[in-house]
Amino acid sequence: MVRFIARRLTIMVPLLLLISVITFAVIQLPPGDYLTTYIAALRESGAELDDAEVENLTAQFGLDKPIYVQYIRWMAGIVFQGDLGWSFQWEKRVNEVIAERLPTTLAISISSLFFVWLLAIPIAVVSATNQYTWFDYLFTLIGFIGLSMPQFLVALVTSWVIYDVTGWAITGLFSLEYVDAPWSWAKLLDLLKNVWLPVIIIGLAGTAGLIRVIRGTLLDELRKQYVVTARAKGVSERNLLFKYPIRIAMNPVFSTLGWLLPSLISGQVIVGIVLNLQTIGPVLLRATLAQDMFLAGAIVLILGVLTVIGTLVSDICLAWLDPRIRMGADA
Amino acid sequence: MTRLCVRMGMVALGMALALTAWAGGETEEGSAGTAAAAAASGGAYGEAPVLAQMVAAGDLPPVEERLPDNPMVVTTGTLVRAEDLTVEIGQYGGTLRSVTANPELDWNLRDAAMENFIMSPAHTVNPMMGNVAGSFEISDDNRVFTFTLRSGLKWSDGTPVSTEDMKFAVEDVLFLEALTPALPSRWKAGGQPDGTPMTFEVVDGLTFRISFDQRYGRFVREMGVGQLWGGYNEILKPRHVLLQYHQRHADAADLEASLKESGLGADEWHRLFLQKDILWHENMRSDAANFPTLGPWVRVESPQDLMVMERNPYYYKVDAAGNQLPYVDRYESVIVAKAENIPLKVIAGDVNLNRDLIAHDKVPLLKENEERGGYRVDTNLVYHNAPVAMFLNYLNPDENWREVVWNERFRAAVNKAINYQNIIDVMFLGLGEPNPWIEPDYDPEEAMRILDEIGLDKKDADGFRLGPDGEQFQFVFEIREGAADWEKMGELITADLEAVGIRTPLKLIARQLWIERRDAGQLYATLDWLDDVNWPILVTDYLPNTRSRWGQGWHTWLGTGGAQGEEPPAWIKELYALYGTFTAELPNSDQALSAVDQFAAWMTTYIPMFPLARDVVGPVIVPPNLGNLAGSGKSSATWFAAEQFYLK
Amino acid sequence: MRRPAAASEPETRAQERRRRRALSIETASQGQLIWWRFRRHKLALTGIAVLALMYGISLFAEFFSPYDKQARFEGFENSRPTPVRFFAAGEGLQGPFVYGLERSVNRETFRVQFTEDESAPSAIRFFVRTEPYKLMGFIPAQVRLFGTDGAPVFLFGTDRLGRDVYSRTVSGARISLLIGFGGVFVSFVLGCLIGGFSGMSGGMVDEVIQRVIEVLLSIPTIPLWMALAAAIPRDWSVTQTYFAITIVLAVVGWAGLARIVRGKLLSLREEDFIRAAKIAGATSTSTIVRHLLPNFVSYLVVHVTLAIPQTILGETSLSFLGLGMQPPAVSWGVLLKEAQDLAAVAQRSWQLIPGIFVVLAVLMFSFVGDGLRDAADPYQ
Repeated sequence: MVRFIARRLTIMVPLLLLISVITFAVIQLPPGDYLTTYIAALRESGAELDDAEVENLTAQFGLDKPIYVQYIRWMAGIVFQGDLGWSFQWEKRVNEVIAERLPTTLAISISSLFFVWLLAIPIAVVSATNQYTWFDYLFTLIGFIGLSMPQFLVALVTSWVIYDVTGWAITGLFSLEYVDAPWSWAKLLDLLKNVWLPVIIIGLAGTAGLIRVIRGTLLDELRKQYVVTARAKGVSERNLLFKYPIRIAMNPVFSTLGWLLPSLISGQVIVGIVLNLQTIGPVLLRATLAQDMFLAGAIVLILGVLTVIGTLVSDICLAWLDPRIRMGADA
Repeated sequence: MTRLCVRMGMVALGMALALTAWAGGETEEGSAGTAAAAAASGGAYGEAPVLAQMVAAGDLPPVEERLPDNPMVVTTGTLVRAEDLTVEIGQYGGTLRSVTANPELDWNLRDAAMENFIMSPAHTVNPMMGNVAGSFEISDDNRVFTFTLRSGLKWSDGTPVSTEDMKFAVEDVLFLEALTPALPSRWKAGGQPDGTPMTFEVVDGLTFRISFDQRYGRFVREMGVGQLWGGYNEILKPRHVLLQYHQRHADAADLEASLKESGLGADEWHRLFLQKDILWHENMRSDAANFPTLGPWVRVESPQDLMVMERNPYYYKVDAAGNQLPYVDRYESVIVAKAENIPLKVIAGDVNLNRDLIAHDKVPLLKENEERGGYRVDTNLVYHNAPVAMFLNYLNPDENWREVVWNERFRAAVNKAINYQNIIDVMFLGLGEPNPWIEPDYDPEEAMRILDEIGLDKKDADGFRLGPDGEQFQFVFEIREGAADWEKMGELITADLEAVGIRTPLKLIARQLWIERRDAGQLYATLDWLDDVNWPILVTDYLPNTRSRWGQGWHTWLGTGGAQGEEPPAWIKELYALYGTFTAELPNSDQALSAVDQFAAWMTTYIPMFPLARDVVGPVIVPPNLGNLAGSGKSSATWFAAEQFYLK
Repeated sequence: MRRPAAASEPETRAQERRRRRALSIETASQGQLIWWRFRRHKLALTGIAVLALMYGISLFAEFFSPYDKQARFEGFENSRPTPVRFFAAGEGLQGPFVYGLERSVNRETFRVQFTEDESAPSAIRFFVRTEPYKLMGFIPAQVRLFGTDGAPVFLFGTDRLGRDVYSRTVSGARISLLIGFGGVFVSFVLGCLIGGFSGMSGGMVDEVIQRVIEVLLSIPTIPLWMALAAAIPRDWSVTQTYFAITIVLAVVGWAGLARIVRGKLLSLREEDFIRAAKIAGATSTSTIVRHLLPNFVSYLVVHVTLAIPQTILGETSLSFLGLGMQPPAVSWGVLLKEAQDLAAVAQRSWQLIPGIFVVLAVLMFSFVGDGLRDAADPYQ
């Protein structure tokens, strides 16, 4: 087991390098660069730069250097100084841009995660043990509807309905008077006031999906021979359920655990945009569209690291949960 | 000598040298009366309470010391045309809050915080008046321009402004290849890329002279409005702040340390300098925080999702009662994730000032919620641009395309096929009018008749016209993404053209892709912005190398003396002849004004492009109690004059 | 496996039925088994029926819509749905008809108002002859399901340019419901093959494939999408471009499925019956074909049933981000993109109706997938 983990960790380094190269190349693939986007934005406001000024800006942004030089410098900065580069859009270090949004992003991601688990696991267990009852049908239906709705539409309609009914508009994670304020209880309270809607909307599709998965796996398990045997031997229904089947049914939860964080962060993009959240998702989208390459590259790289580590973690979890897989992996 | 239509009461200076002189408002008898009265009553200038407190606490020198010796007096007709606004004396305080979906740009803040060397009410270039440079003179042959800075003028950190700052900006930045690889053409004779660079000389601590080797009357516009906006920064920089980043002046060890700190290589001091040097279009960005400026507000540190500007205590303008401007303490902008978030932000009352981001189809919703949100939707001001026109790329290599669109009659037919009034009704709530220069006259029957006449009379099975090569003629219409509602306008035009049998494949393409195709000369038909035709200072916007680069090769041919590009046809040469007049003559001279008329006739004859409307009302969001908001005219003009906004 | 009724519980009627059917289960084929179980899943049956209807209508969209999807009605911009009436004042019940609409704009608030002109009723007629059009794009036809003589009928109102939202929704269905198949198919085939190969071979090969998958999962798709949109031939239509991009992205999009397939294989491989087959001397190919595959097919069918609605949803999300299909193409994503702003939600809610169809289609696919999953369960 230790050897297995050690080997995976060794592979991780070249793997991450490969991811960073591909990411950097992919971000540059679309035509144009950050400067074309910036100049286009200036034009929209009525200002026109002459060709000479464009040339000057190219030098200022360092975009006149070949791409591999830009990449090597960027990587060297990350490896030797922990410097993720410069964001053209925000005119700031990428580290700062990300750091400012990390707490809110993690807060939302983790609350969504708990929201999903707290809701999905009990419902799924009850659904599975009471298959084809009204409870099962009701939550199957609710879950499916949750899965079927385009997130942006849900977010948009909900935020309008809330405003129309209560006169209170959720237009970001913080009310305006707290955006500028340092952290305090009042600011935290304000955050809590604004955060529940995004958490529910982000969690909605996830909950529905997880209910289906757990319910399905649990149904499978409940019909297996060992359960039948145990029941025949007179093990109480409660013990029967909690001893093994639920443990196995949690399998999909753990096998995707590793990707949850990256997928929650990228899953926030759309809700983040509609509800104007100060999280990393919308920043990533905007950076990608504008080809703010170091910012986009850094975020994708971080998500890549999370994915790779996540895969490792979930492989370890799986091996621990289901000894047969461990045997298979070592074979 | 006085070839120019200058305002009454103007004092001409330097007559002996046969110079035409224009002076700033402060020497003007009519408007300076009240200020003179204020100054006479003990020289007591008014200032904002927040600043008065700082003065009392000893953190700031008194207002008399902060203002220049001859502050600029802002009154009716100074910043905005007199027919659009009667300026009131305002009161201090309050916050204006705009919104942007661009973390790097909010033109609401940018324009308000920008100053030019000289200025004119609402950018009309008529008359030109002093601004940062209190007065200026132009030689009779439009070649030598002498500007005098306001004496006692100070940067926002209190450092005096002098021609040393200009010398630094010109000699150590503009003329240094490391920092300016290419000199922008406005600093070259005739505004031509191949013109001789200007000669810059410092006369004394406040006076400097810029001369060219040929007539260049348009230079006044470059100093006054800039190349469509612009500011003073290119030739006036806060030397005291920037020296430490300049290789010529900085201590080598310090510079190396700064470079290291910024994560830049030892050979990249130019990048460090350019990052630290804040240009006009960067003045509202986060790295502009506390950079010395001459504008009414200074960018200060702020959280990531907010741009915050606070009043500049050293601002050089006062109102007619001698109160230092601006009236409003803070000017902020909320950064949102996407333009679609803006309406809710406005309705929620988080935003109270914005122009050009409010799409027309949001107006009914915003109007309905005015009271709840505590703002007002004003529909009295018009956009400064067309705001959009259809362009044809005449130099697309496709022979078939060229043969068709080079035909003036074809363009006349397209002009008749487009229902401009319908576009205005559907897209702009009817708030605008068709552009008279292209004589809009919706007549699809006539359009079809013309098309039949010019040999596009054969049609395919689907009823679309065949081109000269016998294949279906395709009016390839590619629109870039990102501009609100353009795809809708595209759909309307497409429907109109297909109704007369012109097959119009419409596609919305990514902005970067559009730019790539534009620069490669591969576009066919497209939409682009176009500055308003009734704003005659902006004729450059109609040259074939600007919007959508509809005839880039022609421009190149003329610029390279025929070495590259393609020789333009006679009608394009005609345009350049007019443009030559614009460049040589002063913007409001008789020659320039008559060139505008000729230009209008030229547009009518050739219809080189299709402006969809003019005088389109651009809805703006304002606080219900906003004072000194113009009642008519262009929204950009009154936004540039935000220093006179006040909250009642 | 039959579940014997627990001794402690009395046998319910459902259990009795199940027990009786169990007798014939012994002799039924796998397919029959699945169908029997599937039949019990009422939601899934509903799903099949609704989907069949939706696909049917979308195929003959031109017939089912009264107007061309691009036809503009000047003066009817942003019109609310036309009320369909059956009673006229003083004339009692009659066939469905609509009144003409008068449009006016309030110059203060700029809100568009429509008032019904009760003097001019126009009857809705069925199987009307209209301008000739092409059914499915190539069959000449002239009859539409319904239409009116005079005032137009807009069941779902009109959009900003005055086009019938109902006709556009019906036309959009064809693209939205069909365009995902190509991509799903490609990533399905690749995912099965590569995941299967990885799971069966194990060792170094498995290791390498797994790492490749991790890399692929980390590649951001948005810039890829932008790059592809630029690389695709210029004269391709919007729909063709979109379809091509989904196919190309499927080439990198198989990673997720491959991981799942491999995981499933790894656990199946350890099942007793596979071990038994191996011990009995079955070749690896025959193990896969005869033993693993049947166990797997049901699982994969479910995966596909759930992947297709995801492409429908994905299409709307992409449009929302400005990357998906764009006008003049008409798809549900395009229609929703036009309606995604607050002004539409607050004041022109009828323009969100296409969203209901997105939810409906995805829901029905989920029902079917769920029914299949339950039915194909090998343990029941």
